[in-house]
Amino acid sequence: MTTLPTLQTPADLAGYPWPVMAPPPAGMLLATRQLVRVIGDSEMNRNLVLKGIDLDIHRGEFVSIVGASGSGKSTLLYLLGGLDRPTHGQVFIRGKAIGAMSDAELTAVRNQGVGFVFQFHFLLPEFTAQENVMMPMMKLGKLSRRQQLEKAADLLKQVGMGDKIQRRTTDLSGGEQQRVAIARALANDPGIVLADEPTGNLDKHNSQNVAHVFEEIAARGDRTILMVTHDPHMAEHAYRVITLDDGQIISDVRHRAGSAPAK
Amino acid sequence: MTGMQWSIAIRYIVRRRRQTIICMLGVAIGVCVFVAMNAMMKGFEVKFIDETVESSGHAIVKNEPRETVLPFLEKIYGKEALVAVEGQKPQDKVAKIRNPERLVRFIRGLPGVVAAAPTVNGDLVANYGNKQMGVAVIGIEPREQVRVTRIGEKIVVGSFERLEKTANGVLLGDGIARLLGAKIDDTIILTGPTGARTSSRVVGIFSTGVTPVDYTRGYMLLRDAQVLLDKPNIVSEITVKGDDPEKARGLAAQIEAISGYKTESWQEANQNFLSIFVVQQAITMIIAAALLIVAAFGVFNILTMSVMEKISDIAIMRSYGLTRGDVRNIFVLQGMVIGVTGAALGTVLARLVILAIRQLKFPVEGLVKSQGILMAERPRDYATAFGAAMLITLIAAVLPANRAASFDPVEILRGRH
Repeated sequence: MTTLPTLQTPADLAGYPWPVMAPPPAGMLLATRQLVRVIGDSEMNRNLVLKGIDLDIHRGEFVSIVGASGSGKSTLLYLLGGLDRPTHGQVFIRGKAIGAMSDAELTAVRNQGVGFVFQFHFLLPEFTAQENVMMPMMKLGKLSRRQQLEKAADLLKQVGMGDKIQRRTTDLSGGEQQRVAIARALANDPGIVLADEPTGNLDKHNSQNVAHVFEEIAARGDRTILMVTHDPHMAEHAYRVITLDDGQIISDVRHRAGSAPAK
Repeated sequence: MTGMQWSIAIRYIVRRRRQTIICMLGVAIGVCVFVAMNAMMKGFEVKFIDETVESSGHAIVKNEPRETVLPFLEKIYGKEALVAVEGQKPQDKVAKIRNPERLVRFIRGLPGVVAAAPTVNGDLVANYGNKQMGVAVIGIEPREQVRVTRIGEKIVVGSFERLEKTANGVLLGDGIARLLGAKIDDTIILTGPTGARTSSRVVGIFSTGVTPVDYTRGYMLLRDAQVLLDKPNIVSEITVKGDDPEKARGLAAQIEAISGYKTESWQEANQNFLSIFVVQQAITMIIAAALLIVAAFGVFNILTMSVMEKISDIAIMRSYGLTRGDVRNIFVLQGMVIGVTGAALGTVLARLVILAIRQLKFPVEGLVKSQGILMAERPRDYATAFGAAMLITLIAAVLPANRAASFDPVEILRGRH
């Protein structure tokens, strides 16, 4: 864990003597080096959200990112998924720096390699559950329509929604909608699943259901899951817990690989 | 445009179907008005041109200077010079064509010329009872005249042939006949410019449907007119018919260059009226364009609202891999669907409106007479209206579409949280 203790405000960035950036280890799935993110479009409201984060995420890990509101959790997640670009530093996805990628390349990475689940399901209400899951596949364009329909039905079955594939999303409960969103995130077999407070809007029962889905995905070991949450019960399901505070990593606890965290 | 973009665009349109239908109707009305009004304007224009050309020939050869003295002097002294001509009197000599028979034969031999006929022209005063009015008389050789104009087909009472057989016979336009109160076989008094008078039998009444012709013109035998106008053996004009009325300007220029006589095409002779039609067309296009622009504002409005409503959708679509271009196309497609559907509806509506208007029969009197409103549809009017509607709705869609594409998904997601 590397921090830059003297970096506190956006103004500190100017002329800051950054050390030489060490590349990530070969084969590392996700990595950040000296990651800084400033948010705000005017001098009056610029805010240093991330203050130099160095992070390595291995393939197959189930990581929970916790911290108080405003600690930079979601910002870190969006950067790791290529949805945002850093102000300084670098994000590496499968060894490739996203700073070097064009908007089109980054979009393609998200389509094929990353699946997002947000606090709000963001399902398109004009489409059925099955059609919503098919959207990323339609964009990728590698499967025929029949194959897309079959795969979407299969994914929905995996998340316990096999009997509701033709339902309009507006006819589903909050927990069901979130499970459809998870199935959509898995549509193109991404190696990385990024979940931002996936149970933030759910009751306890539905939260447990969603957590269970993530556990099952993690148990297969073929995907890396990063979940932002400020719910300690959700964090318990992860194998590694990274704690952020004021834009810096203050704790990175790794449990035994592939097992639940010690109580 | 991909299937996915179409799929999303169509669903978005269906969701807002009421507003979408209203937008489409707006476009349809703009297209309908453009096509129908154009057909109406064109109807009268086509009738006017047809009747004018058919009654007056494609070109007229006459002994007239192209320029008056004043422009001629301005050319010599320059436009900055102050030139004034005083004490100028009209010339006493009669404008005539020298060796008209020879010129007529020559013109008939030119390529593109179908027929040529000599005439003498002048103004008479017609009296019938206590009614009096001026008549622009044309002295003709009937057998030649029917080859250069269709005046023979415009006789409504009497016959063209009677003109040849009746000494001092006269054919009158129906407007003149009505104003004089004269009917077929009535005898009217015609008085020439030098005071020569004759009694003329009305052997026929014609109606071309063109008011300036029907209310001013009369026809007599060439020799009778020459006597009455005190223009013995004089031919003042040669009427020419070509094989294509649209080529009349070129034909007239050719004849003028060779003969040295001013030769006016029908377009030149009716320039004032043709200018009116051009202005009418411009007004039609402005009105229709205004309606389409209003419809386009509707499209802009509905798409702007759609973009704001779908801002979360845009963020999530961008997160799972749709590009800015995909997002832009989704909204542009919505505009295009509204434009195409509205334009198609408008063309159908226009056709129905035109058919309905054609059924109306009532007398119309103005520059052109007719029964009902004349409508001349042209395929290119439909194509122009369709294309204009598409272009305007596309432009209206591009602005909100670009806005949608420019959204930063992270900013949207942060706002949500």
